Amino acid sequence: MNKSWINYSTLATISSKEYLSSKPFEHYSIIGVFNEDKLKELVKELEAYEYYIEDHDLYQFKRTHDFKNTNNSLIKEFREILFSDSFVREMERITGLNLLRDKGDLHSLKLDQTHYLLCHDDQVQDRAVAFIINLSQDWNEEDGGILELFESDSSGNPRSIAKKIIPEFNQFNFFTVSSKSFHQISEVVSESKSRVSISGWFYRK
Amino acid sequence: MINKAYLGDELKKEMQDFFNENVFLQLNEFLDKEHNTFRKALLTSTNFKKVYNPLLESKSVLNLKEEFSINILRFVEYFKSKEFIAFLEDVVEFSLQVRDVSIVFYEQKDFKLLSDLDTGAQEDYLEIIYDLSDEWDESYGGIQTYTTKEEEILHLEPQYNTLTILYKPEEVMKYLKYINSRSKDKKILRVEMKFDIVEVEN
Repeated sequence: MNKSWINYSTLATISSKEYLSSKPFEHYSIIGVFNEDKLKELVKELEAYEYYIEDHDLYQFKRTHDFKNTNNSLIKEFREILFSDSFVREMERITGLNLLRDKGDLHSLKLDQTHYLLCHDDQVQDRAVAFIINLSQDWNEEDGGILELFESDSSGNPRSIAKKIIPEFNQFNFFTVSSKSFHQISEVVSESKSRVSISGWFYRK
Repeated sequence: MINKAYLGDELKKEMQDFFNENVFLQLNEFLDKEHNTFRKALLTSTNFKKVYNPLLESKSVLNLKEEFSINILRFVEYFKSKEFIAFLEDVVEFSLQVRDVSIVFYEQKDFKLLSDLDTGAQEDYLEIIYDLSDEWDESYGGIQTYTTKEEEILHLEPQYNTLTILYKPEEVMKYLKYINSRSKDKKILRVEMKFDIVEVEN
């Protein structure tokens, strides 16, 4: 397996204790887990990839089909690395969860001006860990598209935004999917830039 | 206050037939006067309170208990008046009882999601919306969609001085599309009313 995609030494700096005690719910955000040159190649491949508009009450953005059956060799390779034993073992060490190998969801999202994703918790079937790999460069807070994490009240309902994560190139965000994992992506207000990411879920064993 | 064009017998029959067939009806230029007086009074009121539930909605609702503007209170009372209810009963051919009248505005970043928690979703009712919004464009968001689990059945775009009458069965839910930054400082301002259907007139 080609390991040059992942900087395992960077991944190893994430402490499980820190992850499990993070607020408002178990999450982590780190720069540099993936090989920058490989990610730049991936961005080029995605530029030619087909995205579909998704428009509902909760969200409006563009999304690719799941990469499970992709014919693109680079994307296929990246998918295999993400759901490989080596990478999943590291995710298990950090999150303390037992995760499936070789099974997971992976797709790309593209948010153009006025696109957004309102508050939700991601709880569907056996999703265990959600992740977002940001691919947009030169992104600023005033461009919008910020990942916002909610704290919940005593009834378990999201109350207010407790943490904001501004997208950066090669930023790896992940969190444990639970009844507390309420999050949203604020509206993209940049006229010229698109917020592009690769995201998906690891599943419980 | 109702535009006299809607009070004649000929148009009444037309409105009844349309509502019977479509279970909704929109009447443009509904009030013949004072709509702008009401709108100005509402826009200067300091008694709107933000309601934000991330899983349900974001909007501003006028706290009528703290509102002392004569123009606003007169406006609210009008929508509870015998004259207005008699007009509605004539059009929909049901007997009606006021359940709720509220004044609401939606601005940038506001929304309403589909939800089973929707007030009154457990039974049929008549929904009335009287609109006093700014000039609106679909690209701002803010379109209200009525939908069942199978299909979308109606899209309502904000339109000034328009009355919408809609029979809302239990299985129909609604959402208001997130209002995006293109709307700038524009507002959807409206009176939202619910009427219980007491009986069907024969």
